[in-house]
Amino acid sequence: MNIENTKQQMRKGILEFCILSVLKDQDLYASEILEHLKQAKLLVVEGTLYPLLTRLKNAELLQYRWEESTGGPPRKYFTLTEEGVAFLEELKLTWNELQHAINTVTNKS
Amino acid sequence: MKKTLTVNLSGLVFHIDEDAYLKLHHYLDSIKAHLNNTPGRDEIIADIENRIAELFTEKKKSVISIAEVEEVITIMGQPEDYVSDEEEPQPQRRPYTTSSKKRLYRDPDNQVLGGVCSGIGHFTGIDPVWVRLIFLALLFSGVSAIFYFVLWIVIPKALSTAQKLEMKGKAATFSNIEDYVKESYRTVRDDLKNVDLKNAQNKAQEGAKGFFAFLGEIIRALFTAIGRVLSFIGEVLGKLLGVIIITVTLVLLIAITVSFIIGSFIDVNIGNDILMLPGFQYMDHNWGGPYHPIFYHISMLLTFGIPAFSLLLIALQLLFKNMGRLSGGVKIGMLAVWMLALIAFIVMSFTRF
Repeated sequence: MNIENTKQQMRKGILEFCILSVLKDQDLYASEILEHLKQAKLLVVEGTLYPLLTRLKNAELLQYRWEESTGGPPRKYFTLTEEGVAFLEELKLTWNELQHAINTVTNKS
Repeated sequence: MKKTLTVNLSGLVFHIDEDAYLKLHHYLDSIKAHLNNTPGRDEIIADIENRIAELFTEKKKSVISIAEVEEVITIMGQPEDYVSDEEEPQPQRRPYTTSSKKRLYRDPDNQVLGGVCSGIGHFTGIDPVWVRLIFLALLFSGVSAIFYFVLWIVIPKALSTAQKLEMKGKAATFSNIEDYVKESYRTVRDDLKNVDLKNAQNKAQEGAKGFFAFLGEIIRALFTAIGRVLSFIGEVLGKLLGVIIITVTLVLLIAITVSFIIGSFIDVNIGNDILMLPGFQYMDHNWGGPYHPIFYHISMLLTFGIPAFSLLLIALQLLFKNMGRLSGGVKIGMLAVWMLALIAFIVMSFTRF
């Protein structure tokens, strides 16, 4: 078993949840989302984010609008859709359950 | 000093070093290849380009060098990192191949003289060192110098980045040739399939006249297919002819130079009649002309050498479509020299004894 691989799998699993959480209170563009995720050490490389964002958008959990920026390329600001908010609530419940489950299991041993 | 290119990333203009451009181009291409089966691939690529543009802007540098590109790749991650797990179990994923055709160019980045050998190396996939060694080995026969010179003239130098990519493109291996043949076969077959039978039948039902329309449709399709086959055969024959002419002229050039060297600088008189090549008796005591025999030999060299040289050029142009051509002035000059040499040769042939 490759430990790095397993770690990465764990991170990837919760990445979508984290992206939606970050976007709950504010609209952000890719670099800002990256900033949050990097602070939390959830992302090693940025490339992983883009396919995820597109997938979430295609699943209509996210929508975006273009905004001009000074001195840089235009920015794609992402917002949660109503479906996205509902989806996030679901995930949060599952996460709390999981957290509880894991705590129970690991504390026992 | 480095050459720079101008690229447009997400609507912003960047100056980028040539090597950095190649690296970035390759990087984006391999990401595309990895995302081949992902829905919304183009959008993802656009997002990635957007982010790269942003990273470049943050650098505030007038020219993007390879260091910046490498830094961006470290930040963005390797192409494999872009694939999320859900899309991965697709074993039939096709490996990414460039469809661009390979072309023969001289390589200015790796040249000793004119970059001919390294160009040939790129084209054949052989290490240029070996190509150079072969040329060096053949130098003793005198031919490779002429041949190298010809190639130097006709093979264009890879100047632009696109040409360099073409130069390093897919190697002309046997499997590629096979692919090419298969592809041509497929187009012909599709042509035959595309005969619009249904449409023609409908027309046929419209009346008696329709029958001829139906027939006409089939004949037209048949002729298109035959035309494709013929042009394909023509192309193959042209290449074959090119190879044959090159072989023949090479042998001819070897014969001419070798006999020139032997005739002019080696005392063939030792072997007397046996070793004597027709016309070459420089050291021969039988020489009876009123002038130095070297002139005779040079006129002969030019009389036979120039046509062989021209044949070689034509053959190369047959083989490689992108070969350069001699300017009109050079052609006329060569023709004039050849005619003078021919006249001199004929005159001296009659007066030598």
